[in-house]
Amino acid sequence: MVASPSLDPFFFLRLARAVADGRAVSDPDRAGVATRLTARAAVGARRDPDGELVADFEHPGYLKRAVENRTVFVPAHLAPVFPGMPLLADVVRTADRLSLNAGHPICLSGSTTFLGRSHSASDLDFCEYFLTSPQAIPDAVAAKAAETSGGVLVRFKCGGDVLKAPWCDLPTVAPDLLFADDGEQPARRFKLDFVQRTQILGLMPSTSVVLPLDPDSIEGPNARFSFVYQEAVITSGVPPRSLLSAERLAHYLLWLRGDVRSWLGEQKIADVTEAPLKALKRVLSLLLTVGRDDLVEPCIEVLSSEEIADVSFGARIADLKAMIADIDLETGRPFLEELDELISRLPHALPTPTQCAEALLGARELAEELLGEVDLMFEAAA
Amino acid sequence: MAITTELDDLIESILRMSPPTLGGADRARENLRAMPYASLQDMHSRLTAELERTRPDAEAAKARHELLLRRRGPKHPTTGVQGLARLKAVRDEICADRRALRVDQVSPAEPPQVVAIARPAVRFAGGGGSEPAPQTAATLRADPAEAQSPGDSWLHPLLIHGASNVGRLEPLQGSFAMRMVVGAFPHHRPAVVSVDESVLGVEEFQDVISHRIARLLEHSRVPESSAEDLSRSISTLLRNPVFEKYLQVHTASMMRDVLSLALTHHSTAASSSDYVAALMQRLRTRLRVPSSSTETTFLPERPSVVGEISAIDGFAKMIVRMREYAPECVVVLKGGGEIAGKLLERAYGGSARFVVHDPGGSAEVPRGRRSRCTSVLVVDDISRTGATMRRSLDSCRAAYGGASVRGMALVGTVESAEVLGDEAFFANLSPDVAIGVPWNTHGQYHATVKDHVLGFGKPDSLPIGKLLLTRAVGRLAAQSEG
Repeated sequence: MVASPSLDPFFFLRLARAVADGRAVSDPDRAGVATRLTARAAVGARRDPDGELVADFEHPGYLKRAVENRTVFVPAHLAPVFPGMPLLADVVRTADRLSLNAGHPICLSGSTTFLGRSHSASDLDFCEYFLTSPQAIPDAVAAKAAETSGGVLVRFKCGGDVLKAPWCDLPTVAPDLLFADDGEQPARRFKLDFVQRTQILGLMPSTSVVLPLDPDSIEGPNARFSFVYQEAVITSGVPPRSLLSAERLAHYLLWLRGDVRSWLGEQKIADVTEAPLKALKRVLSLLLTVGRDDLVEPCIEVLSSEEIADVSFGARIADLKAMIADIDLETGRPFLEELDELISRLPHALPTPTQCAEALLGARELAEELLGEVDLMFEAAA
Repeated sequence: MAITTELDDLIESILRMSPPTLGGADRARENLRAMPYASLQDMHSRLTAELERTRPDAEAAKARHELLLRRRGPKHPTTGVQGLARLKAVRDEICADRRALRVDQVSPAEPPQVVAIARPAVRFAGGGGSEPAPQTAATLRADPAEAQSPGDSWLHPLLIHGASNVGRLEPLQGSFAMRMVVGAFPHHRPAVVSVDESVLGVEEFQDVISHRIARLLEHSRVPESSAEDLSRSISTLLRNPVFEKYLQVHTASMMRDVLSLALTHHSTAASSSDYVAALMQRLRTRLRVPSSSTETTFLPERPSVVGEISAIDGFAKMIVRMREYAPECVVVLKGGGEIAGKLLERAYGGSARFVVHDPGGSAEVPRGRRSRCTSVLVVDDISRTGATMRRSLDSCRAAYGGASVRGMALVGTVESAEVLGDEAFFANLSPDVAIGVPWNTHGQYHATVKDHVLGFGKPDSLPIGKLLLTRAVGRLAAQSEG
């Protein structure tokens, strides 16, 4: 039951409903967002494993800490699940290798921000804000494709098109994919899939969504493809976007709710083995954002166990195998050997297919139940 | 003191209004205590005002929420209780399995240790012998002289796998067979791999099969009321691990047969060329793999006892495969393995030395009179988790240093197949870890003039006609050689 006299968790959902209905957000409600996020950061500091995250009152809602000569800004509600050292440094170094421009902010995204409480990850997700001229993108991607030391670029995805190695066509094809014919529209967002060597997690499928953004108008069209509330920003400067937009927060909650429904749909459940886990992660993110910790904590306790975390290990291996299959033979060979090594180093047997299926069924039931609660809260918040 | 009390009250009031995410109240108090008092007061006043401003909406929402919860009723919980219970049960089961595996794998004489699972699959590599010598990654790095041994893995047919290491397949590089495979699957790099690794190839076949089944349903006028159920059943089957294994083995067999036919055709057409004829002969030799007739049979989930036909057929397959492998020593595992081992010993016809080993005991594997043994076969009746077979294979490798060691059982489970990969051949594969054999496993083997009899007396015994078994073995051997 919702506790009192806390600030009510229905507030953010009321905003979401207003935005969904096309109603304007009032100034007092905007101020309410700032008050709540500021207080959340003040009480939520030093909840990371190292006790290093401190409130950044200049950027309300964010906590920050220094890592590898940069600053990492973390939305306050993610602090209790955010990873500490040395894992964080490992992830930041991975982000550096993925980044197309070392001066750009790059964000840890999605379940990567939960690594403080999760025993393992099936992949690493990043989002780079490409703030320099988009004309430089094809060359930057080509340069990244030539790197093979810490990891290797496997796929370049833009719109519905996918480019793979060999990359000889990249300089000519990429501009056509990135830029509209009229030259008026901003460059399209794109996704880079890598196989990356990480020191602690081993070989990992890693994805970076690159958003070409105008630094003078950062909330341009491409910004809608990322949500600051699920991103920890790694930057040498300040976080490029604010957490205090009531509309963006509302859109984030609406997107989460829709995405949970989508992952729980019959088609996704049938097509994607991990669909229930993805749905569960989304609904937990939603509940964590609105402040329903009472529902989140017991779920994290079970999901963070080594046994349940291993259920998605098979997906990670399958993902890596498929990615390595797309790399040219000579480059892929050492990665294939490392994958064998990763499997052979497992200290225990993986869950059986039956146990995996049962765990996925449990995740689906849990996500459906929690979505039921979210739906009730949305309805009650009217 | 008064100030301290006032500060504490302020902090507690802030924490009531804005509790820390996921607990951590003590740390939150420390955080607030470290803030300037004026900032705290400002935060407190803003929160209080916000609480007052939104109180009517909050109370209304809370009341509506409670009403909606009551309407929904206890049958439809929204706290995640059902899903959590299932997840916890799975977690506990996996945890218990791991504890059991650790206990099972630690011999009394050794200190407890975490046991690594077997590599799930082993690649083929071109050896110098008359057939491709399957080797583990470890033996690939071993002394070349030792690479002449038959290897630790049972042969499986060919299949295409995009992620495989072609560098280990030199004998086939540039060959007609390789070019044919490349032509058939332009998007994948071909390789000779064990069935466990052939996921990509199988997925393609699986897609084709799913598509064909869907087409079949479309044309079968299934009533709308049943169509969804039927579709779901088939979808479940296609994702069943046993079915996947079945598909792997049988698509692999199909590929092998297609290649074999192609080679025969080419060999005939190119008979005028000595070079091509010699090359084809060499390829044919290298492609010599077990026939699909001696592949694993897949058992349904029910009944939980191997049928008599499957048992007899399984023994015949084991005998044919033993003859192909020609082990110099057969290590029979004490218990159920002894009953199966005795039958194999009587029906095998080779010159192998049979010894009994107790995998649960502390004694080393008996080596018999032959101290120099280059090929060893470990035999059991059932492999449920793969742990006993794994331990026995390792013990044999330690006892017969440098020898090729393989395992074999009348029936294995999907779980044990995953653990052992190609190191063990199972004549039958079952999804059920509680699978049983159609005779009393505490009995023994004995023979009459006509029958091999497994298990004591009746009804818990299985007589296998000697003539029947000999014929079955002969039939399989002929198919295998053909």
